[in-house]
Amino acid sequence: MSAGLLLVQTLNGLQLGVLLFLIAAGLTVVFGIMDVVNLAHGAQYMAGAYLAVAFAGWTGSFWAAVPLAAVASLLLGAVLERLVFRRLLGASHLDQVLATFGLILLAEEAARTLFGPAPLSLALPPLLAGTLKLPGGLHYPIYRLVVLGAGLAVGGLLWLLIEHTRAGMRLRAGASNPSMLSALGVDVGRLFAWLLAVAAMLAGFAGALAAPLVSVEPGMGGSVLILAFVVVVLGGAGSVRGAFLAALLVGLTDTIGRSVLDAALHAGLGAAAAATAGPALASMLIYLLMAAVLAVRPYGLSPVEP
Amino acid sequence: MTVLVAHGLSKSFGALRVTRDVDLEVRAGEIHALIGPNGAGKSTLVGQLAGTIAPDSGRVSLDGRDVTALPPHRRARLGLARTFQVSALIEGFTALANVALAVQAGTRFPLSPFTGAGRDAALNAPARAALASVGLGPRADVAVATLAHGERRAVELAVALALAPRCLLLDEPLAGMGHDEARQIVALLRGLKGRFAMLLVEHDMEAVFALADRVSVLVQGRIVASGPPEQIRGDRAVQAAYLGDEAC
Amino acid sequence: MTVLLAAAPFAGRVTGNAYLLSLASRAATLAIAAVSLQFVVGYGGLFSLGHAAFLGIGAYALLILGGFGLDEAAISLPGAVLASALFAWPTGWVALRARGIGLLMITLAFGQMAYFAAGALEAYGGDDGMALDRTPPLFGSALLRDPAVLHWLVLTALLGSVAGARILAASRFGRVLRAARENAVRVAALGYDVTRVRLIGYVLAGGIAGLAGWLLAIGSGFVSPATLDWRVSAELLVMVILGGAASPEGAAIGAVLLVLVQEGLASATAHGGAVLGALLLAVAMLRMRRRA
Repeated sequence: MSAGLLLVQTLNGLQLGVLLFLIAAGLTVVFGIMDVVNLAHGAQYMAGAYLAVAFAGWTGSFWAAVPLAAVASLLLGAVLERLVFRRLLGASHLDQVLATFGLILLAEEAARTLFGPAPLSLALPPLLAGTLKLPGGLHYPIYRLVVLGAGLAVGGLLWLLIEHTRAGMRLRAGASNPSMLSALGVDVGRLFAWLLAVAAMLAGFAGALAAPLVSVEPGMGGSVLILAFVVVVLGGAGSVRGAFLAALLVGLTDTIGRSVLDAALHAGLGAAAAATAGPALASMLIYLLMAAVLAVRPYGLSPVEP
Repeated sequence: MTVLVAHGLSKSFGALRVTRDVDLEVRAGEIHALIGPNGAGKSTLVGQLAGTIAPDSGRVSLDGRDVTALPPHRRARLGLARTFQVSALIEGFTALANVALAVQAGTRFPLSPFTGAGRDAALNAPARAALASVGLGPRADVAVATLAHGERRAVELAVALALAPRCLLLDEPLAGMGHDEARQIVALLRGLKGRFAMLLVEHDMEAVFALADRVSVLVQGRIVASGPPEQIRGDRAVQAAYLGDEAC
Repeated sequence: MTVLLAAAPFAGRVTGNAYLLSLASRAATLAIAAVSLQFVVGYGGLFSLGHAAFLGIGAYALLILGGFGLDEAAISLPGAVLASALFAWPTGWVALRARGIGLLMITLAFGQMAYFAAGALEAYGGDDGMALDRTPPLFGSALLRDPAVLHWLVLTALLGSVAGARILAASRFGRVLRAARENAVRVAALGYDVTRVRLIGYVLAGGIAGLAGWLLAIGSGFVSPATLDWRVSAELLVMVILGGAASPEGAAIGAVLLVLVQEGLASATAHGGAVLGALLLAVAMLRMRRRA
């Protein structure tokens, strides 16, 4: 594999990684601190994508659509928190699965009814639609770099918030010892409401960012949800830093791993084997990675100290 | 003859050194009490003896056999029984079922998928006997969730007895008890004296001095004194360590 | 309920409605899978969101063995059970080791792994799946081709699973498993290897689900990766929860309920998904309100 191709795949991997991070960050906090299993988190990602498409249609502007979609996702998250998630706190995981699975079905049906089952796409403005020439000679879409940058920026912002503010401190305390929070005088109800809404916003923002890159359809949340779960497990539940590391690792494994595997199979077993076994083995790479890491580090890569 | 030996146990959580080079031994038939002010590290030490916490360094041996690397269930099978500071019974089961579960562990087929466990006389008879020995004979078929606190502690004791252990780790068996209840448990323990090695971790000084053959004092992770109860009572260093800490 | 399911073949003959019969068979088959999951979740306290993998492995085992001419029931049935159990063993071991993260997520991931693997089997239809060459012979006979016979077989297996789950739960093994659900540390302190006990339960459940997969394949005559999709795993879990999660009979009822509701909704409206979603949400909210 040429250096140029390696660079492209690395960038792809990082870009996938930051998107996964945005989604997984909310998921890991909600599961790790609030002990809520949220199967509908992928649906929030889907909602963000559809919202971006809708806003782009109404305003005619991509630049407006993305932030609007993010804000709308925040509001949607707040509404869902009030109506459903508030009751899920302290409920058994079984009930949470039942409720959030119901939410998925509702959300997907709503998307299908409002937007139709056919995949949609979101057009990029001319400024973002071009490519950049990389060292190595290959061209790389500018938008993907923008996504990478946006994701890293948000990640940096989150890091600042978590490590350097009082709210962040409460978050970290809550991750270590959820029952301590109320003892520390924190209004747990409000904190959790905020966490859920922000988690929804991050997922929705990721969806909006991803809309020009993938096909926007009712089932898009499903595969993303699984990957996000893997990231949460790999990184350690409740750990945002872990989610960041794990997301990048997963993103890189999926992209570079795929290429390497493909090349290896081509070289070793020929094109036929590469075509058949390749994609499946590549899809399994992430799970094998997860199993391998867990065998050595049962708490995940960067777990929260109990 | 020593049954349980801890040698050089040390454990740190980050920068906090909770257990510092602890040597401890429990002889056959004796009650060895472990006392110390709050925060001394008693729970961590018990955890290392039982196997739920892995020491950073040091050894634990049972009947001369090094068990440091063994998980709790293996140590239990070798004869180390324990009670928990916070009652750890299966709330959904009856007292009888809890004790029978302990009896079951010692049978030839503890995991048999065929035999119904509820009516198994081979399990229930010894279980009832154990419960009777702690004075809970008539309460055997009551769900644990409805038992009084003192009764639960007694069931814990019955569970430990049913394991026919070589050494019994009693982690604050009198915790949360009223005076009368505590006296009953103390009487029970006195009745068991001599049957097996017992390490009694306790705050209740009255009980400690009534029961113990030897006392060791744990302060800030280290054993600062060890000897017969009267010697410990008069020890200045021990008194100093307890200053400002109500030894209830 | 058993009476209802048993009556189905007669209803099928009387009304000439093969559809009802196949629906009943499918419901009962999924009920077997639900019962096996209930054992793990309800009695074991272990949360699995990857159970559909075993269903699919059982189905694929039949398909693959059929390709080698080994689909004779006496061979392929044990083969299906064994294949599922063999998958359950290492994945269960890894899943049970992970702490503080939730079995749920890891079983989900392993389920997906199996899903992708199934989709990669180009020789067996890849993503689209493949039809069975023929209905497997039963001791050389073509008995299984009769839907009524198949239905009786399914019912027998279902009854057997429920009875088996009950017996196992009441046994010494079951008592340890159930106690560990409440307090694993305590059970370990008694001398039991809790992980091993849980793994055994998980493997047994996986095997039974493999049996269900085998039956499912025969019933529909078709095997595809869709059977291993995580949504199927979620549906199985929903079946268990609907039935109360406390008993195998409950899980079976939950399964039949869900299948019937889904079928009913599908024929009544195009928005069946939303209705079902709302129903599940409502049930969950009710359960939680009752708890609180």
